[in-house]
Amino acid sequence: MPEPQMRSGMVHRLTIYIFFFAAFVAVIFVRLWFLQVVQGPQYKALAEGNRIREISLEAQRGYILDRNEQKMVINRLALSVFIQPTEFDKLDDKQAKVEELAHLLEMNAEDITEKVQGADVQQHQPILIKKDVKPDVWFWIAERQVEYPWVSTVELPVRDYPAGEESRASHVLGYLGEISKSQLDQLKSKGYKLGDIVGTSGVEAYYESELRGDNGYQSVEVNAQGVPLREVEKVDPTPGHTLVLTIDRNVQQVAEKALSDAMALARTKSDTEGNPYRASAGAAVVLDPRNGEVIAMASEPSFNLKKFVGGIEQQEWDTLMNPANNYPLNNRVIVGLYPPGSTFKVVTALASLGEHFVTAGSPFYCNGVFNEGEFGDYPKTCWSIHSNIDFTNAIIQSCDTVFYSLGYQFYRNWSHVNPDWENRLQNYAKLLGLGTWTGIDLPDEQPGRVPTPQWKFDFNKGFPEYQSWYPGDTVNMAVGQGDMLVTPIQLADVYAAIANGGPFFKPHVGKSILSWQGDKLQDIPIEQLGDITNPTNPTGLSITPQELDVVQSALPGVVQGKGTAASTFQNFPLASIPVAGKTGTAEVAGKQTTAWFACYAPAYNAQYVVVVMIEEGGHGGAVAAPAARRILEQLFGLPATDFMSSGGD
Amino acid sequence: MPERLGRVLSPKVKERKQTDMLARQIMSAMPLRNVDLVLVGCALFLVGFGMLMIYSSTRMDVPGNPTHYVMRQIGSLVIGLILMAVFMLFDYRRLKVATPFIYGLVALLLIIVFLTKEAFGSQRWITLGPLTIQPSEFAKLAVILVLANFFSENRQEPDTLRSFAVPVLWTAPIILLIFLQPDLGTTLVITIILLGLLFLAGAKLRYWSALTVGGAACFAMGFVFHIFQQYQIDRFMAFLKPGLNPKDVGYQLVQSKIAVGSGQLLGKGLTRGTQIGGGFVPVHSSDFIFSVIGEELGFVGALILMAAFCFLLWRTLRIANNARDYYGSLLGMGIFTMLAFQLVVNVGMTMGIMPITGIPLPFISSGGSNLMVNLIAVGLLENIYMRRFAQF
Repeated sequence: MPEPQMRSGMVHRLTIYIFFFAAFVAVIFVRLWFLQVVQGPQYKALAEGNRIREISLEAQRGYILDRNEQKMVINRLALSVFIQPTEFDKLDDKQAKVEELAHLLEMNAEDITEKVQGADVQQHQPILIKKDVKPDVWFWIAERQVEYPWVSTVELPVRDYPAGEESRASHVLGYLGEISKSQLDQLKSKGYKLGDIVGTSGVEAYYESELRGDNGYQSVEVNAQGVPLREVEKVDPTPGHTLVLTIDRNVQQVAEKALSDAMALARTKSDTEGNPYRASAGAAVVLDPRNGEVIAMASEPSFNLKKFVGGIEQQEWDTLMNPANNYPLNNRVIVGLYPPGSTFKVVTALASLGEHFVTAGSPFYCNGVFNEGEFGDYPKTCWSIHSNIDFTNAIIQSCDTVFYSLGYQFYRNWSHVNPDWENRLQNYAKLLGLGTWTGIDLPDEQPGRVPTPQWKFDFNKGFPEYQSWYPGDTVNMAVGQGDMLVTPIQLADVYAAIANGGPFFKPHVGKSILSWQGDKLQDIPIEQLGDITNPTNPTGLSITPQELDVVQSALPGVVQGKGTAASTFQNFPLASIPVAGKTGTAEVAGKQTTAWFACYAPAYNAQYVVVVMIEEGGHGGAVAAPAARRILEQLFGLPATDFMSSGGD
Repeated sequence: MPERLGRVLSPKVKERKQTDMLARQIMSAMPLRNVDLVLVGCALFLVGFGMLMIYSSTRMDVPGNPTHYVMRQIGSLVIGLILMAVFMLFDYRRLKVATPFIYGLVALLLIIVFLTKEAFGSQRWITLGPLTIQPSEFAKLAVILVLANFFSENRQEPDTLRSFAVPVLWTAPIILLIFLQPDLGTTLVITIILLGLLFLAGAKLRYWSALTVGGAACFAMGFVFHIFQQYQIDRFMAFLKPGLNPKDVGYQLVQSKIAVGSGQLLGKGLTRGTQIGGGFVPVHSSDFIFSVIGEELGFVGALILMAAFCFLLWRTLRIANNARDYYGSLLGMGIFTMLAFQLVVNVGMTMGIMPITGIPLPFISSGGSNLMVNLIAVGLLENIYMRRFAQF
C-alpha cells in the first residue's frame, strides 16, 4: 500500500534537524579538544593539586650552645592544634563546632573565632589555634581525624630553652618570627617562602642560614575527603648546624643579675635635685680583648624568649612594643647610643699624648672652673676641685678641667695654627673604632657618632644658628659630652685596644659552627679591626707604646686610693688581680645622668674587658662599677664580697 | 513508490528502484536475515565500554566486592537483551494496537510512583523483588510510540491545530507526572522528543514556536515562583556560573571538568583516574561516567566513544530513512532524538557546556531501566530494519 508523497517541507525540516544535532556534536568535539589537549596541562596540574597533599617536613633548627657547649637553645615538639580554613569553610554549623573545639582545648570560643576570621588568614595555610595542648586532648583529637577533618594536629617543632633560663641572653640569642618582606627578598633564592619562620633577632637572625636545616617533604595522595591513601614520595629533612657561642652561660647569668642589681641600687640613690634615679635601662658586656670574643652581653629591660615560641600573642607583642616599657627588645649593648662621658677621657688622653701636649707628669691646676680664653665669659665647671694635679691623676680622678683644657688646645691648634686639624681629635676617636660599626655578628648594630664641624653643618641644615662649630663643641667632646654618641660595645673595644697595647678586634658572639652530629665545621674567624700603635694607620695617626703606657698605668689607679671607683673595689684582691678602669657620668639633655664603668682585668695582662652602662643611673663609680665588680668576681672565681657603693664621676 | 525520508541522505533513489522491487520481495520473506548487525554491534560495544568504565569507577565503592555494580549492570544487560529480542520478534506495526495499553501502563506506574512519593519522599523507582524499575525511563519509549502512532495516522493534515494539540495533550500528563517526581532530566528528554517529532512531522511552525517559547517561559516561571527544587536551581546556576558556589553543585562541575581536562590526550589509564578514585567527581558511574572516560582514556578514548555513538546514530537515521512506512520512520526518529539529546546533554554537562540535569549517558551509565530501555529501542530499530522490505 503506497504511501502519499512526503512533503518537501518535511525533508527540509529533517535537514535542519540533523544539522542541529551535528552542530552540537561539533561543539562537543571542539570543547573536548580544548579541555583535554589545549588546557590539559592546566587541568592535570589542578588534578594533581587535588590529589597530592605536600606536607613540609620541617628541618630541626640547629642548637645554640655556650662556649662550654652548654645548651642554651634547643628544640622540642609542641603538640599543636590547627584549623584548616578550606575544610572549616565547608562546615554547616561553624559556631557549634568552634564551641566544641573551644571546650576541648579549654579556650574561649570567641578567641578561636577571632583567629579563624583574622584578616591575614590564607585559604591554604592552617591557622594555629593552640600550641602546647594537653597530650591527652591532643591525642584524642588526632585519633578522630575523620570526625574533625577541619582540625589538624601537628607536632610543631619549636625552640626550647633550659628551664628557668627563658630570659637568659635573650638579646644575644634572639627569637624567631614569620619572615618579613625584606628578609624574603634577600632569602628567596635560598628557597625561603612566605610564612616561613626565621630568626628575626640576635644570632637566630644573624646565623639563620647556618641554623636552618634543609626541609624535607612528604607527598601524600588523598581522596576528596582529605583522607590519606598512600605516600607518594618522602625526602627526609636535614637538621641545621649547631652554633657555639663565645658567651659563657655562667658569666652571662652573673652579668644579668649584676646589671639588674645595679639598676636597683641606682634607684635607691637620688640626683642633685633629690629625685631618685630612674635607672630605666642598662647594658653590660664582657669582652675578651685578645680576640674580640663576647663572654657576656646583658641588656635591661629584657624579655622572655618563651613568649615567642610558636608565635607571640598579640597582647604580649603590644606590651613589648609599648614605649612605656622602654623597648625591652632593644639590645642596648649594640643599638643603645649614649654620650660616653668621662670614659671617653682615655681617648682625649691618648690623643693629647700622641700630639705631645702632655706627658704623665704634666702639672695642671683645677679650681673647679675652666675659664681659659673664650670660656672667660662662659666658664665650664669640673665635678670637683682637684687643685694641683698631674696628668696621670687627672685621668684617675677624672678631672674635667684638665680635659677641657686639652680639648681647647685641639681647638686652638685648628683655629690658630693648623687648618688641617679640623678633625684632629675626632680622628683619634675614629682610630679607636668610634663612629663606625664594629661589625659584631648581631643584626641592627648602630654606628654611633663622632661629631665633626662638617657633620654639624650638615646635621643642622636649615638652622644656620646651629651650624657653626664652636670651641665648646671640641671641649665638650674632650670629656665625652656634646654630640658624641657611642654604643657600649664600641666603648668595650676602645678599652680592649688600651688593654691589648694597641690592637683591637671585631667583637663576635659566634665561636664556631658544628654539624648537627657535633663535628666542627668552621671556627668563626677572629678579625683585627685596628691597632692604635701601628704607625701606618690609614688616618696617619698613631700612638707609641710609651704614650699608651701612660694611660695603661693610670687606669688601675681609678679603683684605688683617690680613684673615682675606689670605694666600690674595696676588699677586691687588686694585688693579685689588678683592675684598670674608668668611670663615666654622662649628662643627657632632659634626663638624669648615664652611669658608665669601663674596665679590664688583670691590668697589664688583660683577659676581660667589662663595660657597664645604666641609663639615668647616676654616678658611674657608685652605680655602674659595682656591677662590673660582681662580674669580675665571677670571671676570676672570687666570692662576691661587700663593698661601699659610693664614688665620683 | 513511497518516497522516503532518505532523499536527503541518499539521493540516488531512482537507480535503486528496480533492484528494490525484486529484493524487497525476496528479503521480506526472511526478516531475521536482515538484522543490522552493525547497529547491534555498536550498541553492544558501547555497553561493554560502559561496563569497563563502571568497573573502573566503582571497584572501590563496595568494600570487598569490586564488581558489585558491574554484576548488577550485567543482570540488567541480560534482561535488556531478552527484551530487545522480544521487541524484534513481532512486526512493529502491531505496537500501534498495543500503544494505548503501554501508555496506560506507564501512566499508571508513574501515578504509583507519584503516590508512593507522598509516603516515602522523593522516589523514582518501583521495587519488584530484586528488580527496581524506573517508570520514567519507560515513559520515554511510550511517548515515542504514542507520537509516532498519532503522526502516522494524521499524515495528511500535519499542520492543523488538532494535529498539534492532540500529541501535546497526550504527552503533557506524562511530562507533568515525571516533573513532579521530580526528575528534571527525563522531563526534558520527553519534552525534546515531543518538540522534535512535532517539528519533523510538520507541525505548523507558528504553533511549534509558541510551544517552545511557552515551554521556556514555564521554565523561567518555575524559577520565579520556586516550583523547582532548590538543588535544581543550584544546578542551573552552577552551569551559568560554575565559580559561584564551588562547594556544592559548582564543585561537581569544576571537579568533572578537571577530570576530563586532566585526562589530556591519552588519559591516565583504566582505573588510574585520580579524580574518580579520590571521589572528587560525584555519581561517577551514572551521570558523570563521561568524566571517567575523559580522565582515564583521554581525548582518544572520548573520541572513540563519540565515534561509536555517531556511528550508532547514523545507523539509526539510516533505519528511519529506509523504514517501510512513515510510522517506522517516525519511531526511528523518536529513538534518534532520545539517544542524541541524551548524548549531547550528558557529555556536554561533564564539560560545562550544558546544565547539570541528571541525564544518563545511553548504554554507558550504570542504571538498569535506562539500559533496558535503550536495548528495547535497539530492538525496535532492528524490527523496523528487518521488515523494511515487507509488503503490506
